[in-house]
Amino acid sequence: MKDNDFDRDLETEVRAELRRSIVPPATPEYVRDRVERLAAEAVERAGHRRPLRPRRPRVSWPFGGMVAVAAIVAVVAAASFWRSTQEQSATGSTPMLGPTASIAPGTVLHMSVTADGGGFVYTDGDGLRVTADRGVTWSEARQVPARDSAQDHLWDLASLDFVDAQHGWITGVKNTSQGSQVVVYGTGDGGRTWQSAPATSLLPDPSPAQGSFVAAEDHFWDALHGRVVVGRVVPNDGEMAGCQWYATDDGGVTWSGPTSGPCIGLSPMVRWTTDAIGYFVPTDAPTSVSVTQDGGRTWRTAPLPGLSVETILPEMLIVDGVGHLSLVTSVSPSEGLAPQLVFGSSDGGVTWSKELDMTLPAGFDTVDSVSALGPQHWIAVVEVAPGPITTGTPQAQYGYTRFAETVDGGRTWSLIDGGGIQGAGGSLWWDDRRGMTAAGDPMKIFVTDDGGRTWRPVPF
Amino acid sequence: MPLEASEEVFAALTRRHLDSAYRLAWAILGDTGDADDATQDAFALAWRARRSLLDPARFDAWFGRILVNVCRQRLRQRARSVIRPLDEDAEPAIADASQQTSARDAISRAMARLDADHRIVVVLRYWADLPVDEIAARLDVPAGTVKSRLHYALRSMRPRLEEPR
Repeated sequence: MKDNDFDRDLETEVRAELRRSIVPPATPEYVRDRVERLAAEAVERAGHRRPLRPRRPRVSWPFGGMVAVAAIVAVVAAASFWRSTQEQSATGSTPMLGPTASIAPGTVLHMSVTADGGGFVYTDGDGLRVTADRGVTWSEARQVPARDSAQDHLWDLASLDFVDAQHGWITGVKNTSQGSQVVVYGTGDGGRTWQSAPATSLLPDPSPAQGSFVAAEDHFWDALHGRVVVGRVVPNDGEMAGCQWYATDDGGVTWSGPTSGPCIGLSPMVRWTTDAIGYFVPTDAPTSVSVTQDGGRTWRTAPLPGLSVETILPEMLIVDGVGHLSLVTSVSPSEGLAPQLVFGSSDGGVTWSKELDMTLPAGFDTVDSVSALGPQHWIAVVEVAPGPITTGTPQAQYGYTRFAETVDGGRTWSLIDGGGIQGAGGSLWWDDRRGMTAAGDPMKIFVTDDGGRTWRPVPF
Repeated sequence: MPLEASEEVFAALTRRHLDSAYRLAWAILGDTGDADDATQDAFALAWRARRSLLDPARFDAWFGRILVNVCRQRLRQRARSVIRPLDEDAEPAIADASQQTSARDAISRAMARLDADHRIVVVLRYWADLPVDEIAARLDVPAGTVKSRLHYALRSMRPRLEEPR
């Protein structure tokens, strides 16, 4: 018997026998009690404490013409943590009910919108739902090349990337008995069909001695132009052996490369404001920001003034019609600064200055997940503190999530009348009226056509 | 869109994952007392470190890393302070002529010979059925290292499993 055959047989035998022989008992009640006590104590301690640090959205901001009308692209990789069991249709001013201990299943794994009215929701167990008309109508569930447990890992949800309502890509690493392989799938019909791109053929692991591919990420800035960054580890070494870049200028028909390059996109993750404009915080310079305006070909890194060693959380990068960059960030309270700051740059990110300490009105604890509908018009999820806004509700000791907006670049904020879905983590916008969000338990998609004042659940 | 979990959400996450955590601890450690302790220790550590969970959707992987680390420490402590070494060649307590039982015993003995790191990857891969990249995330090692450990674990188990039964 050949070694490979034996290994496969051995794996099968080990798997079967382990499952037969390892049959754990039920969790003892005293262990359950101890874990419950830990939770109860922590929740009680948190009862009067300020809510948490702001959240990190991944946003995108297509702009053009005069002042930009926004579409926000975000990846919602979270679904299992939304805190309410009380789903709100948000058609009125009914006070939000407080959080409960239940958790929605992690169903919605990807949400994004594109500037041409495309919208995409990938739900585990359902598939990909697509809209081409800004959320008015939605497609049937479409299947995508997905993770295959028999092949370990095919793609990461973060690499599901649409540039318009029709064109999208999935990139990932497939592990096979012959080694690891980078695969790219593309669609030109909104996800109805997917084709394996030729990048697959240029990237079978050329030599096991060079190590295994462990991660791959694509970024396309239009239907033709994109690149894939690939990370590799050397066998028996364990160290990432650097990254390689492959590029295409014909929608993935042909690829050039590889060229050695930084692992930008894999680590650190890049947030794309548009398909050309992206930013990240360098791991070795946590109070700086790196910005690209050419799809990642070149980057400029510069410090943000007034910060010490705390890592900032960049919330959103906005570009106005004349090229001025505004970076909304959050900082740790230990900085002694306002929790949200706005930095500006008029030279493309070469230098930055602090433009605003965002002082929040009474009743707002945090401003999270900022989305831009225009250079000065932003909508955010806010944690509304107990107090005047929520008094009278029996669960008012907890903060609530609502939508709030500013039309002056963060200087003043106001709650959107009637707008709010308990547990919403952020919102994506096609324009200043139409947007979508995800909330509830189980999680559902909601759309609005009046700037977030009312939200309608999408029936899937 | 990573979001930080509130205490309530985090508490619910811990409740939701308790049973699976206990089962995994038991599978790795193979001992009820150790599994009890490791599970409690892991959740206590998780509460202390919960601010480092930047994305609650990743709780499973994040907590899994804590749990596996706790289990690894216990396995190593056990290896250093063994009072009664496992008799790898002992016959099963209840003799069973079936080939299945014989195979199971062979697997058990082969597993007992593995060190902590190799035992863990074998359990995560073949019992928990986790993909290599998830195991890598939980162990904080590259996927290549996981593959390497699996390879060497199976290789070291191979002679034991080839023995006549």
